[in-house]
Amino acid sequence: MIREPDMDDLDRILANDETLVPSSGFAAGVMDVVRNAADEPPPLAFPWWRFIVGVLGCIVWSGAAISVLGQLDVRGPADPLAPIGLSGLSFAQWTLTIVIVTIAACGLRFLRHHR
Amino acid sequence: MAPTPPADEDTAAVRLVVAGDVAAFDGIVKRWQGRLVTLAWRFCRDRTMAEDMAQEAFVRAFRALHTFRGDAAFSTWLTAIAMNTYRSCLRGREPRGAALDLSRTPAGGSDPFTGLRDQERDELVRRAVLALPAKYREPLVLFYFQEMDLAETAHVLALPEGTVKARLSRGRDLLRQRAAKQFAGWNTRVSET
Repeated sequence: MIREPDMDDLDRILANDETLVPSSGFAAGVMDVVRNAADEPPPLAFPWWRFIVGVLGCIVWSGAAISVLGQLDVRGPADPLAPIGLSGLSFAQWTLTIVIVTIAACGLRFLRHHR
Repeated sequence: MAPTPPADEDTAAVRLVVAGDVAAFDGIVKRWQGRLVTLAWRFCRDRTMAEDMAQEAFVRAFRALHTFRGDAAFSTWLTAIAMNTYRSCLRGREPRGAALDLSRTPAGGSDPFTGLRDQERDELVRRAVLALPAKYREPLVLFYFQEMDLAETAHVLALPEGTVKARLSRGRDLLRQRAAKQFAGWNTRVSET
């Protein structure tokens, strides 16, 4: 019969595990890989300036589009947001709000992902 | 367990490596290879895989060396990197459970289990640790096998000490229950032969 280990046995067994000695060439092998890693060019930094210029460009472009479309005075067929007091916004204001919210949401997601 | 290398040597080596002296990393590798390979081995029980994982941990540590600020001990910092590396290396792999290697039991005798000595039982329990869920396995390995105290274990795992304490306790309970079940099964089989 094999005796079941109790808690004291478990503590003793877990605390007395043997140690593994690395192979003789392990350290040299690691250093070879490390030297190769050191010779690699550093990873490219994220192009923040281009990103910001791109975002600003999008905003300017959206603003221009909105101003043009705003002159058309297009309104939706109904006013579904009247109950929450947002019925007074023009088409241009709506579009601008949506563009800003979208850019902000995308920016937040991007920042959280790359933090 | 090998004695912990002196922190001063590590700090000095880190400064040299960050300043561009890649060769200084050799000292870190030589001082820590035993502990990192052993830690990896305790998660996989496979020498080749353990050395591969430890190598990957060293490379990641080398790349991240400039982020070492000395807020925590170098040992804690390096072990945390190693744990993250091993976790990602082992992700998706089936745990190598507590299968008993009968070929290791000495031949001869009418009862095939007569050679199952305490040593083998101990090894079986250690292998059973691998079959535990990661959240219990990791504190057990660090606390018992790596001889870290509660605070250091909590730091490496980025968990509150209370959580680590609870997981250690739950992990030991699970381990005892599973071991008891296995030993009961074997004893039944032995008595039937």
